[in-house]
Amino acid sequence: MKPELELKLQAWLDGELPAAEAEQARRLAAAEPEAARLAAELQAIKTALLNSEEIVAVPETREFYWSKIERQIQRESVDRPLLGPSWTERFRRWLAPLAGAAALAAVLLVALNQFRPQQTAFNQVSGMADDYTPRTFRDNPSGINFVVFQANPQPSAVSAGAQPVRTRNDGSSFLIEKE
Amino acid sequence: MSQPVHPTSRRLIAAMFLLALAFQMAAPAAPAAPAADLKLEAKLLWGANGRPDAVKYHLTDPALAATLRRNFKWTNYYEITNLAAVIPLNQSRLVRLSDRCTLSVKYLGSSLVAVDCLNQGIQISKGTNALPCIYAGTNLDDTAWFIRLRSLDDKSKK
Repeated sequence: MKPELELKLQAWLDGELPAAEAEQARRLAAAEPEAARLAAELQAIKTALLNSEEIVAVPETREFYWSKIERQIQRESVDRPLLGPSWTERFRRWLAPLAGAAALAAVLLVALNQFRPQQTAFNQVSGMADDYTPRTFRDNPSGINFVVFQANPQPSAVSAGAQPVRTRNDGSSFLIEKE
Repeated sequence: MSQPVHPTSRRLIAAMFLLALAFQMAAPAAPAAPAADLKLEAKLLWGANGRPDAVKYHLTDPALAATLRRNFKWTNYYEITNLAAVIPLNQSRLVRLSDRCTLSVKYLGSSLVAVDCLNQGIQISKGTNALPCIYAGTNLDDTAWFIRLRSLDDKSKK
């Protein structure tokens, strides 16, 4: 049976159909065995529900009973102050997103620190005597910055075959000593 | 029997934990120390390949020698002078390491120093370095000199 017919039968039993359609539904229930069975089943359920529902009698009249409910509603709406959530509730409400934001900020801060150039790598020579060229580098295992004085070749001296008369090799010389 | 934890309390505990973690991560590893004086150690070293028993100086400490050996060709590194100086922030001190070698060191804070190398009063070089640092140069007899500067507050053996 089509769902539309089932619904029509149900509406007919509930008394919701106009007279013409109700007549059609009645004929259908009389002609079709399946429709008749469904109609009987629905009727049985309806009867069972009606019989099992407990009827509670209100001692007051309907108007008086309703007026009591209405007064109670009005009293509660007047008595209840318009308070927001308590401070603990607000604290809890804000703490979770605040903690999340703080954690995110901390992670960003750490990440930025990772990419910031290390100050300990600072190593520069801004001025040097003409005879020398500075070479700077960093020994990463020890973290030591090096500045090496490299002597520039002196073509005139080389061509002339000039050699230092004496060099001191006791470590007390600071630069190449020529006498 | 343990009481079940209310879901709101669980969220609150988790939030507190996250907040504590965030502050822990954001905090610097150590509290920032106020700018104190620099306790500078300056060593003049000599690098050579000769036999150590023929040299009147003592070999420098093994860690420093290993660092130098890793970067330079010399085998032995002798300690000629070992000086210490206290340099207040933004002030300079002269550190005389030998007759010919004097450094003018200015403490710039945060382990940074401005170093002028002076050879008998004549400026040879001028630079800014983060400590620890080593200045180096060669002598004509295939030996080398080294000046190692470091902060004595730096406990590592750099």
